[in-house]
Amino acid sequence: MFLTQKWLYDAILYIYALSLLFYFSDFMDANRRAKRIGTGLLIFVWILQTIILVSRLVTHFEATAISSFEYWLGFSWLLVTISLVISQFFKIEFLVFLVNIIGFSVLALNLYSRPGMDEQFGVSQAMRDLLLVHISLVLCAYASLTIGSVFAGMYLFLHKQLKGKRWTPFTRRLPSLDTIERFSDRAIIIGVPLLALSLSVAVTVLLAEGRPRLMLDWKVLTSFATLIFYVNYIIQRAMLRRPGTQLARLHLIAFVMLIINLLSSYLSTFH
Amino acid sequence: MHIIVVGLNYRTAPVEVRERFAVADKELPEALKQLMNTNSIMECVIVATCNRTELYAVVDRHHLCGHYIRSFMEQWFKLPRQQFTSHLYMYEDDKAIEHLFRVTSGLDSMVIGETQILGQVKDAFALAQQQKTTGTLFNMLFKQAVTMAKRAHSETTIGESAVSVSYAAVELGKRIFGQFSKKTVMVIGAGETGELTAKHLYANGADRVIVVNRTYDRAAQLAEKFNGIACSIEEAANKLHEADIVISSTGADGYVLNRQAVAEAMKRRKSKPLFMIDIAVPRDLDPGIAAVENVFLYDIDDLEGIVASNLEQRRKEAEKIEMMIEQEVEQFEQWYKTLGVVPLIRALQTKAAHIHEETLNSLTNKLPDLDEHELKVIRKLTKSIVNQMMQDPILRIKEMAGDKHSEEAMDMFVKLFALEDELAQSKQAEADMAAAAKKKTMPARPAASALASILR
Repeated sequence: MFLTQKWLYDAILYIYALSLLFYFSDFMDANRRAKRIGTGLLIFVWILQTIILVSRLVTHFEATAISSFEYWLGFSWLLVTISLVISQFFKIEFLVFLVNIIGFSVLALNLYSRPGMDEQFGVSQAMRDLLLVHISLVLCAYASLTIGSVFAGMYLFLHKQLKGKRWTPFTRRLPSLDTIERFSDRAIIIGVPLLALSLSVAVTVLLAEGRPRLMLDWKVLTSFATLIFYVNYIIQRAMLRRPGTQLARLHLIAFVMLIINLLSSYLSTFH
Repeated sequence: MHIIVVGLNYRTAPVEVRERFAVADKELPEALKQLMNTNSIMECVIVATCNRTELYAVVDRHHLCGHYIRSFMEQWFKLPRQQFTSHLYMYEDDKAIEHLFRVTSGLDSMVIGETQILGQVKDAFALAQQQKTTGTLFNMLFKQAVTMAKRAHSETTIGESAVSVSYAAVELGKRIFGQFSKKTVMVIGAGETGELTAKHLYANGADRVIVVNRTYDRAAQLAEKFNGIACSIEEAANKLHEADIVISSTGADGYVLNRQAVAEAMKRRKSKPLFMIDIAVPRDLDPGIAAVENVFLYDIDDLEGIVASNLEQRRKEAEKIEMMIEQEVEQFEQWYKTLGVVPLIRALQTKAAHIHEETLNSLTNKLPDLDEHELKVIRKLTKSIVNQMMQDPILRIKEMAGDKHSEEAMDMFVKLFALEDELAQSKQAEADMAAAAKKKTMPARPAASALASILR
């Protein structure tokens, strides 16, 4: 079983890389045919990822453990899913390519936590359901906020191009500043409540298990710091009505905090 | 048979010549009929637009066709050929096919990559089909050209960027606002390009237009065109914060708006961006305005730079389409070569059927006692032998017809099966039918045919 999944995982990586190469060709030269092939391959990647994810979840469903392998695979799967859904319903050039560079990096780095090699998050049976809710919510929040940060990056790039009167094929193909801002806001509006909910569930788990000392763990502290950064963004946006460039910068700073939070898992005693 | 195109366009003829070769829509059916009645022409399509008049034809005689078509033009446009021959171009076979593909995909247009011509070629072909002036060749060629042009536009970005200053402003606005609904446009001055840009923005959904001019009456006049409001120069600064897009094209010597006025307006606009277009020379808007946060200031040179960049981009995309055209021409030629094999196959089948029939007659004479059922079985089996014997040679010659040395292969096929008589007979029959069809249509246009016979 592990051997089959190993092959499947390798196949996903190769096909994913090939798909990104086609997207890159479209990125550089507005090659529609390459984009179509890239999308076809990406859908295939999504199917294979879904198969692995479902099979892993089914085999683990009764167990009281969730591996970091599944955690990151789930994150990458969410990024692919959301990017495919957005590109299907809204014509936003480059989004699939940029989001999936992150998705691919996550999947490739996940090689280090392959099945069989991974550490598992052991929890009591009673807290299993809450933990599943926490992980699902936090993965959705990460995916949403990652996509939002891609939009923020796009905003700063396009703003700089337009302000500097640099008219290039990239400028022409990007969505408007207004569209980018709208999507970036939506990503925050979806991501921040999910992050807050997931944190509240996690705190509940810690308190219910009688381990309040873990609230001072690096992972928990950086999670709250990240949430504060994003809440600050929302205040600046909704109440102080800051211009788009300032908001995009705040968004990226909050995302850097989110990455620090992701990496702080390695400093955590229980993640 | 040969495919030719004779015509003139914006490159070879100035407008005062082109306008004399215009064909009104209602006259096109008659023009097609008359062209079809011209000697040597077997199929025809006329593409007539403001930038070109082109006659596409399938002809049986290569050398005289140009002369016949010029004669038709003399007669139809009532001009002596000396007056227009120097403006004409004529392409034959491969070149004519390539030209049609280039025209249909917009590569031969004044604004490279425009899509209007695709619709015009489609309409011209549909009309020719309706008038029954197209046949096997043009039905295939024009359908292929239209399909190829659609593919060219969907697979490349050739038609996506603006190639005029006013459209470049609209394109830029779209990069900032996405769409113009709920947007206010302020037009300062009543210059032609400014008005045109405002017109495009309004047509693209801009909600409200404020027209500012030194002369209030002129402002009111222009505002009326966009259901907008007019105001004086003095009022403009107070209303500036309401505008999302400002187009300035006055004839003023100094700046109409300075950095301070715009910075004040931006404070009132909070986070909303402002797009300012300065089309005037000398400039109306202080270049320092560009430094104000969230303001995008573009002058005429910037817009022209965008147009130049877009044109360059279109030329790059055109190179991709040229490659598509090469493949399409090759594909058409392959198909055309296989077309030549059809009479050969038909001749072989006729000859085989003839031999089969004669053999069966001889059999019934020699074996008169055979009953109806036996004869039926023998007929069926012998027919099967003949068909099976012919199957492989037919398949092979179809394949060879697409090869480089197709003509030699076809000659060999005719010699091997001794099909010369059958081919000659079928050619004669086709010629008789064509002559009969032409005769049948003659009485409907006595004047035209009389003229045509004189010219011939």
